[in-house]
Amino acid sequence: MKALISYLHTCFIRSYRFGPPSFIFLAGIVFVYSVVPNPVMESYSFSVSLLFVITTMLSYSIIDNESVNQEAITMIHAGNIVTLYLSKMLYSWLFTVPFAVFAVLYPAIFQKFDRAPSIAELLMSFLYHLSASWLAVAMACWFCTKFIRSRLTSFLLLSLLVVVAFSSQSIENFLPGALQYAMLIVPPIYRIMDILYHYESEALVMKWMPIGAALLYSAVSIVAFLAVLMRRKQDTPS
Amino acid sequence: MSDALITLQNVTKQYGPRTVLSDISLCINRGETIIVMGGNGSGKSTLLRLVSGLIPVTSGKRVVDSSQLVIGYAPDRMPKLRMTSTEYLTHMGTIAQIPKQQLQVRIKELHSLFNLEQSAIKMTHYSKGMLQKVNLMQATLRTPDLLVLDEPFSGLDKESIAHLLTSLLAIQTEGASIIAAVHDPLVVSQLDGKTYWIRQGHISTEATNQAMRFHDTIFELVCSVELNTLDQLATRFPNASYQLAVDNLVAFTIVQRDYHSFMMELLKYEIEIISLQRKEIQR
Repeated sequence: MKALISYLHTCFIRSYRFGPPSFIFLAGIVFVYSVVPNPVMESYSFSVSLLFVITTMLSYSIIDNESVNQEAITMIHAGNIVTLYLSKMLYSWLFTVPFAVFAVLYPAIFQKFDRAPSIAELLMSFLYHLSASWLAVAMACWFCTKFIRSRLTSFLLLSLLVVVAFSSQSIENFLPGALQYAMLIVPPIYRIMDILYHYESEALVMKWMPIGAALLYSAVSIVAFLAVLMRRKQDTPS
Repeated sequence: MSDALITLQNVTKQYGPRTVLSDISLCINRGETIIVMGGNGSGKSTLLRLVSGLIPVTSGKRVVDSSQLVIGYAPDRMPKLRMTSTEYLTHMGTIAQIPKQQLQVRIKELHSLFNLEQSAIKMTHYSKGMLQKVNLMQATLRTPDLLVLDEPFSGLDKESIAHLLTSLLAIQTEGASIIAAVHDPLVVSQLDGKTYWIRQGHISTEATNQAMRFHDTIFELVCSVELNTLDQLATRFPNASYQLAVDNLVAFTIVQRDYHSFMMELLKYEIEIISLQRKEIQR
């Protein structure tokens, strides 16, 4: 898997596809913190949501960065398609780890907050960022060309899901009882954002709850994705 | 131990409502060479992808002799990656878990075997022939038990074709099996193997034998053809192979059966023939 990640990294870096999303993220963070002072955890809520969107874009690019023929070659050398795709997802997430570090440390080091954040707050914020990016990877994988051939359709559907994910709490309140379960398929990013808004008043268990929800959602999504992929292999929709 | 490396049993492959391959049974034995022929879109590549395990069968069974079977796969087109051939092969070899030192020796050996310089030039600047060489090199990084080649001679010059033929024969001598989709009857005649023909989703050997009798004489001609006319000729004569040269020149290889009607078509389109050569194939 290390060899696959190294290869995927070489291909992705040399494709320069990382440029626009990375620039948007870094510029977005710097721009938001250009006005001081800012509340600590509420500000992290914004960077979590931005990282979620950016990771979606990066993961969407990384997963289909190889051509079909090259993917066939890589798959033959790797031995199976599951290892290849797991590496693609893991690489997508690893790529965003420096962004998570930047989002957490930049405002803390350059004193962009109204008070100094505690170590516990910094660590929890870092975990929330990592959970959000892993959640984005677990969601974006379903929108690869293996499952939706048209890049335009997959992009529009993915964008729609991102919007629904952010507004899922309002949508859930609006839906009748039976249909509320349908919201379980939407990534629980709002739980992370919500806890960051009410961080100080929440109990410790509740602070860990969004991380657990994100990990559970990601695990179910990724296992299901890999199971479908193992059955379909390189088949594309007709 | 069985001699069969991979067996396809009554395999059918469908893409949605479209049946590409129907009720295919094929057994690839150890050390055997199988040539698959057929027109454009006949399902040759799909068959090779099924054999390689890249796509699942819709119905039927793909039986593999051993989970340790080493398959080398070379697709019809190699993408132009932003890395040198050495970088690319190092990545592929590392993914295939070839020990580092052994890999570097093998990469050097393959560059020399395929007559390709280990330079700092990235594959984005490679010609079609150079890319095809890298494609074949990656497929043979590990000594394969089965080598699956999709149009391996496409884009190669005559010298490279001869070179590749020798390499394939050497690989075959080492005991590897080869299954290759080949379009050029001249090349087919030089590969010592069992030939199958795919037509309308079905595989057969009878049609091939009949076709090959006609293929004993071939014609090579070079003429100046516009691209739209070339498309029409390629559709009308699926057995004809061609290579694009400079200044709109195209080198065709025609089987004897198609010769008269092909020449009539050239006259109809008022195409100027630059050269024409008749060749007898020694089988």
